[in-house]
Amino acid sequence: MQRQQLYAFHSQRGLGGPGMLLWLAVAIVGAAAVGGIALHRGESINSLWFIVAALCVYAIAYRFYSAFVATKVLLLDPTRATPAERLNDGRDFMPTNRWIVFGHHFAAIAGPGPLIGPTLAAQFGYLPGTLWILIGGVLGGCVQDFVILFFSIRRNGRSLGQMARDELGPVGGGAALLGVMTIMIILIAVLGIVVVNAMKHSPWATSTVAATIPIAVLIGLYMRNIRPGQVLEGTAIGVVLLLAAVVGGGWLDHQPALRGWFDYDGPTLALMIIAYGFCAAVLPVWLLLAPRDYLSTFMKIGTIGALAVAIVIIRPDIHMPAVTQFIDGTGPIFSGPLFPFVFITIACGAISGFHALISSGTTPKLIANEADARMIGYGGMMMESFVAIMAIVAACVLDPGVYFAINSPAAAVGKDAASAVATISGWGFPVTVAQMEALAREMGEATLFARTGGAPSLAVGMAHIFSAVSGGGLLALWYHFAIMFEALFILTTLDAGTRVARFMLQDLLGNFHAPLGRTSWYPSVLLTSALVVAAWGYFLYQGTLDPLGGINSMWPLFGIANQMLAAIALCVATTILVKSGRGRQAFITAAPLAWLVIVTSTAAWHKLFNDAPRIGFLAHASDLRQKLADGLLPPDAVASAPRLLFNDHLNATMTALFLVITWVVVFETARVCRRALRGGPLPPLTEAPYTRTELAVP
Amino acid sequence: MRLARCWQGLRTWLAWLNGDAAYRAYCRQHLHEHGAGCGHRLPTRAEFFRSEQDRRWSGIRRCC
Repeated sequence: MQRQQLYAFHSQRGLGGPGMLLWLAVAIVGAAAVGGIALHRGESINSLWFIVAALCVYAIAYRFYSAFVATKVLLLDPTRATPAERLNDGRDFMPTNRWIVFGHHFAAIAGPGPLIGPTLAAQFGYLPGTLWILIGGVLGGCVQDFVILFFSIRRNGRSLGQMARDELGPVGGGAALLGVMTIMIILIAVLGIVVVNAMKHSPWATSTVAATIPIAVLIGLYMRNIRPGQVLEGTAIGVVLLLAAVVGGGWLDHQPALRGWFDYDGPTLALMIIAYGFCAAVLPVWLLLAPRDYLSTFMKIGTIGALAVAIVIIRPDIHMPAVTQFIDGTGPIFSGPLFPFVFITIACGAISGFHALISSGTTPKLIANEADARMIGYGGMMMESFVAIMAIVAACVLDPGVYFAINSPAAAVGKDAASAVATISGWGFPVTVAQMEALAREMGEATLFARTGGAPSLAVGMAHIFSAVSGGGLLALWYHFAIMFEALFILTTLDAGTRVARFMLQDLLGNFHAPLGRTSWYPSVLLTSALVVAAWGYFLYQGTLDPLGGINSMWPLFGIANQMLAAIALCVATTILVKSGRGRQAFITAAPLAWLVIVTSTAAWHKLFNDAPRIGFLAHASDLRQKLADGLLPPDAVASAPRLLFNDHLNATMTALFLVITWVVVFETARVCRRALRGGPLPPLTEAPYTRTELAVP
Repeated sequence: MRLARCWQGLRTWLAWLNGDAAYRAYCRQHLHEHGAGCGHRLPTRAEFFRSEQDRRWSGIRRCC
């Protein structure tokens, strides 16, 4: 259809009188709920406010803003054949029902990030994180996912890297590829730290997570050899076995002879995860990776749905204050002031660069009609943002003192229980040793002090919510169910991420020595898998040795990398809009891009050059060097000082690399857009020509 | 009756979501493109499932 016809087509679907009144009511209720959350200053606030605020914001954003993007900017054309129709091969490209594509897309984008990030960001209070999840989601993340999906559909399902190379040229494309590789390494390392901290000295958690490996192998063999292709059947059996593993872990925890087999410290668990990661990368996918993914997808959708229903049923009170004193950057969980660190920490719950890889991966090859891109791209990210809202609710239903006792590393609050509770109570968040011991007993753990990483505190919150719905009790069972659920899809991301990074590395090395590029040549598989696992394994292992628990330095690094990738995706989208003559509407991607560049650059600058040793990598190194020279360090700290110094410089180098990549892509975008506006020579647009669809038009 | 329809709908959705329905869709597309007597041998369900698993995990499928 021509542009004018499309305008006419979309304007026929405008609002009538009664519809407008309904939307006015939604707007008033939403504004009241958001206002209530923002202005409330009492002891507690009911979580229903959060649910109502979120649902109203999403409804209005979807109905009006996504409609504006779809009809006035992108001009979705329902008569245009999608690549799924034109290139239908019954495998990769296949027109698929939009609800099924929605399910595929959501299962792919929903990872541990929107659960962990908001839990950590609750350190600033419930308000900053909640506002950013809502605003950043509807104006940034949803738009990014939607436009990248649309542009990929228009380019025969091309990937983000290919689109960056096509539209920005080789420099921008190369920087984007490097960005994807590095984020993969940091992502796997930080998720590894989260799992290790959840399993540390917890035989119940460790045995349950360990049981997921033989269960996945068993289901893999079942689906391969016993009942080939019966995925639903295999998954159902697997889920039953997983639930049995949670119960079995509780039994094992009470067997003195057995529990020692699963009681490990952080560094030992890190080495086990590294060994596991290597095996998962070199084993055939059907044996471990694919069945684990089937199980984790099922558990993910089921548990997230159950959590949403449970929160609506019991409507727990939020005990965390709206804003804490840690907005000044002195927080114990991660260091850094509210701006920019709340945006870096929330990451995937509001906007995630990684989603752009999914939106330009399998999803665009399945969409039957271009008009479905709005529901799948924009709507899918709205769902993810809602998951983040539930995570912040689950974290904030805990007493703040308990929340800080679980999430603060010993180095920040004190090594023994008495000094930890004294420090935390001194901040104005009362908590006692007896309270923490009782909670640990209820959860079936030896201790819950300094269980950093976000997963244990989220599991405690989820256990309280699920327990209340199921009539009280069984807290320990629910807690370990939540740990298993988090670990299951963290390990899936770890397996899948390692394999993808291996393919990328093989692709790169193949340019220097052709056999190294062959994914079926076993020496190359072993070499590249070992290199990738060594890269993330180093960061993971060092994180477990870090006195501040690893999360303190690694999560901000992951957040910066993730937001950098989002900035790259928005650069590509802005460039395409400007090149295709839609420069006036390019603000839909240029505004979130500008914000992300400011946030990412400021955060990177803080991590590099902030004077406070708790925040700046270089300041920490300098402080350590000074203490070493002055002889102020105890003997064990002297021994570990060279390693910590090296890590500080390595982290600083990674941060600088992310900063450089971001700015290279931003400069390339500015250069190409300037040429487009002034009529200079440009890389041509790579949109596939129009073909009329032969499928039914909605 | 309505409950049974919902259950059936959920099962169909899950079957599509996890790939149970992929083989049928592939065969349908193959027949549509080549016709019944084209001489191409269709893979068995087991062969199709094996090749699909290997192929599908060669790209980014899961996010953070």
